[in-house]
Amino acid sequence: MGRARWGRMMNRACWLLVDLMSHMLDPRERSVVRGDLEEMRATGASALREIVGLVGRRQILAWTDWRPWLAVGTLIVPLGAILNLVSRSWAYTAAIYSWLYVNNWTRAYLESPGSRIELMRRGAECAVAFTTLASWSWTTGFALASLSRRAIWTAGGALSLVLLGTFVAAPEPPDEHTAVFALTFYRVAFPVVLRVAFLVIPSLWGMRAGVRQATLPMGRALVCASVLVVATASTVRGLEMSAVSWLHLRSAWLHLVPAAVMWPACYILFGSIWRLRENRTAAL
Amino acid sequence: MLGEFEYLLITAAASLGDEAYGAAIREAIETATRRRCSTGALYTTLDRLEQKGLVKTWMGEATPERGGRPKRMIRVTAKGSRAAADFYAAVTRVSRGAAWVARGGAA
Repeated sequence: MGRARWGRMMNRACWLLVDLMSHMLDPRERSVVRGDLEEMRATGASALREIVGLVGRRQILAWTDWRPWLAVGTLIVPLGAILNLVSRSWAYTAAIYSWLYVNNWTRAYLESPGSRIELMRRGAECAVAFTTLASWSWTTGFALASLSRRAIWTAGGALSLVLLGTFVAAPEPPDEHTAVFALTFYRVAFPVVLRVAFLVIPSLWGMRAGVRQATLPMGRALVCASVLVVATASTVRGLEMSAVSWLHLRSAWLHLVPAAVMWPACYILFGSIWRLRENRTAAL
Repeated sequence: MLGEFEYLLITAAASLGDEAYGAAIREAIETATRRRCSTGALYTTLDRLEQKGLVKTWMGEATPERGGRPKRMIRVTAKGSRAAADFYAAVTRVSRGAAWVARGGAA
């Protein structure tokens, strides 16, 4: 009796996984394959094996194209690493100010005009910086999906790993702020929460949008690129300063970092211009 | 020149005629070869054959035994029939004189 119940539970769990994994297939193919499995009266385990096999083959085949490899060379590795390192550095800075204003809160921060202005300035800087980070991440995700739509599950997984991974040159919590980083919350949890919220989630959101529509309408692409240019310009100093931790201060590469984070937005804009030209040519 | 599995798929589809779709072809191949035919191999090969213009596929009707989901119907094109005939002719030529052919076929 116990074994039969266990078998039913396992069967249900396998079908649940089949449901989840079949979302990695094109909607038409998903429907056909689920219909085949139903018609064959497949058990949960065999259905799961079939779906895993099909999804695996589809992903491998997608990598026989050149576009996912271009995405690896231009987006996943270089840009993923830059965003990872920048977000780490900014998360530590945000942790310091959060500790200062949350853990050591006094009414004096609001009563003194100087402190009040300082508090508002720091808050605004953090808001702009993390919104810009989220925008870079969204455009990276969108460009990745647009460039390697068929391989998005593996390419997107790789980007998420690079965004959240730890590298040799990854910035450490600053030594001079031991009071802040002695707390596990500020050393570990706070940066992770910020990086998931402003880096990983926007990139996944961007990928979702990129899978649904490979190019943005011209107007939206223009607005997106313009906003990003302004946002990048307003955070360029912070961006270059965080890059100093892994690039030399006088390195010429330092000035390429802002250009690098802008390139997915340029790609999106170029894609929209290209689409507009194609549509006009087709209409003639 | 077709591959072995491509030949099996085209031949099964041709034999099934108007009833050729994914699950039916899979069953026909498994019965004939007595080997498991995976959904992954079936549909990726089908895509390749369609790209080569050897088969044509379209979405068929949804039936209750499929949970209301459609079938992927398959028809072998004239080019596909020629490719399968060429493959069969090549296998027949190369098999001439082989010990198992002389014995009257494999068990």
